[in-house]
Amino acid sequence: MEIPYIVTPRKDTGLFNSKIAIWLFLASEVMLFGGFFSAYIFLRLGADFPWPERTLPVLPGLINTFVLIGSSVTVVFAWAALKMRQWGKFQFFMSVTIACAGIFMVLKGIEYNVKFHHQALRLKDYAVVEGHLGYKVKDGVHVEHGKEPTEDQLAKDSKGKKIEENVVNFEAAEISFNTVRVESPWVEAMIARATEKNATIKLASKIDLKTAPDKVVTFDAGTELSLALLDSIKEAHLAARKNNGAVRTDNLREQWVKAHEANPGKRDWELADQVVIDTAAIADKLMPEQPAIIFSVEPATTFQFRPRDIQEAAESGALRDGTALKGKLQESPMVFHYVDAIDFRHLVMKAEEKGIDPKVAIENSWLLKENHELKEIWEKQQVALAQLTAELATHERVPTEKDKYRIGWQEMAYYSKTAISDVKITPKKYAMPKVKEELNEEFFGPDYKLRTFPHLTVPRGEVQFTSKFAPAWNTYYAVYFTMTGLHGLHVIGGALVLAYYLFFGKKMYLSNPEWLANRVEIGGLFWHFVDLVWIFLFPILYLM
Amino acid sequence: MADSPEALQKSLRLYKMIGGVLFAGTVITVLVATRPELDFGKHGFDTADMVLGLLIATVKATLVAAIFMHLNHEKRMIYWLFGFGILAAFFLVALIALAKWDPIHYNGFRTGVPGSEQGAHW
Repeated sequence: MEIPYIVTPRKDTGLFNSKIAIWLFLASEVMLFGGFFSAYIFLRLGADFPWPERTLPVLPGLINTFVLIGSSVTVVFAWAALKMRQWGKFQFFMSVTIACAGIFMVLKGIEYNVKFHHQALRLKDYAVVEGHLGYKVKDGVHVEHGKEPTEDQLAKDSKGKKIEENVVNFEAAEISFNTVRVESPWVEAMIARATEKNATIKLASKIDLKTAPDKVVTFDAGTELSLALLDSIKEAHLAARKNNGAVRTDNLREQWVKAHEANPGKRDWELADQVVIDTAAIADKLMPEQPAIIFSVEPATTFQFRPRDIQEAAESGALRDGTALKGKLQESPMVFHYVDAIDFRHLVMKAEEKGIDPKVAIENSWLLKENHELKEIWEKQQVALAQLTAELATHERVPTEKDKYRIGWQEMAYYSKTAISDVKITPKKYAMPKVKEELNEEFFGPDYKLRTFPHLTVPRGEVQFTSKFAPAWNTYYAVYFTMTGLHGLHVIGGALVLAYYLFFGKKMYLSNPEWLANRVEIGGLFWHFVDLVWIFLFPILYLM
Repeated sequence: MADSPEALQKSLRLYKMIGGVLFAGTVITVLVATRPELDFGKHGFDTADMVLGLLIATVKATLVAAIFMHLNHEKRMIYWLFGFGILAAFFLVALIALAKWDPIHYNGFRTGVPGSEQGAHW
């Protein structure tokens, strides 16, 4: 069957059909991205924390902008080459376009990766710490001060991964699992940890369950914890629940029938509070249920949990899957191997809400009171701030909140290597002093071999919230990942379509070159739209 | 839209020029945002920077749409389709804005219900 209006325009619209289709699609895309842009605007206007403006590395974003603009030019050149029946030129320009898409996605991948490995911490007093965590070393291993632990000295989890120093240590003597809902990897990790510590996790007492009214299953006290054991108990428990549910329902039905017989003419709602299950009558038909399974740990062993997985107290803990722990909470500090930024803007915001002088609030913050390195850096920052304030005053300007209350990594690196008497801002730069970034640092963040940063140990009690620079950290990162992620998917989708024309278009070019030109025009229109969205995303997310 | 080889060649020159303008616009946006000595308005990011940044972005987007996407000489139906999409997006933003600036709004999510424990945190 011949598809109509793929080359020649329809008389009523004056357009070939696929062109109308792509513009309809682009109109819907405008509404989709419009929704996200409006979400961004309202999240920013309504933010109850200092919005992290100009926080992303500019160079990768700038290169990506150049790359997309360049690809917009090359895709239109590819289309023009087809119109002029120059297959070779089409191949060249389309290849460049697809290569640009590849570069864009690689840079975006690097940017995401850096964010997912960069740690953020909000303390109870709302001071924010950024940096990289250290890794836990094996129990009993001592690493000399100032030396890096070797790979062999590092502790590994049950999957063989290094463990960041951000875990809650809980010495458990008793573990009670929720029979129905158990997170298997956590159980496996507990078994592995117990094995490593020569401890055993055993069923605390004998459990008799029925899988049918006449079939009893016994789980002996002392049986070692395994996923298979938990599964067997769960199976028996669910069988009992199914039976008991049916028994209760049947009895309740009987009670309703009896109630209606005894009270003819009465409505359901009038009888409702009289109709109850006759528990005595069904007692012998019910099968025992086991909603929780208690295990004892001998000897009591320290397990490590990710902070988001556990709600801990001095003598108990509850995991997200309903597992309850009894024992003793151990010291569980969060250890930053490198602190590459501190930010007091949120603390200041909270202090001002309470009518407290920001300077007093900062001086009394846990960070400055407990860490002399950061205190010294803060004092140096105050020296630089005074210089900047004086310089800006000559132009009737004042330092920003960011200048005043945030020390970014370039500044932190500068203060770390500069004596307080040598702290100086660069004249006519109108900025706080900082180190000059190396090219790799523009993409990957600070080079820790090159820079010196303070270490920091934060007691668990001071931690309010912790996250990588991921969507969970704040609404800025949530909207950043959503918008750039969706845009990235568009880049991939567009590049795949254009690549199809490049690699599989020759046959069509030979038989109907105008059709291929129209197809490339459609693909190109989508590609320009992708560029158009980025034209707004770049300044909004990276520069504002 | 250009169809003859001569017209296409002429268009290619225009595309190159527009590409150059887009590059230049990007460089200006970045310089103004990152070089304190070139900063507009108050020191640091402020409304003037936002207006300038969005203005340049809008000019760039208009050039892409008008020249690369050929909207400067398209059929009327395309204008209707795309224009409707843009209007609908603005309309939806306005709807949210109505809720945002509604004078009788519920503020309990941030401040907590009066007298409740949640309110004490804020």
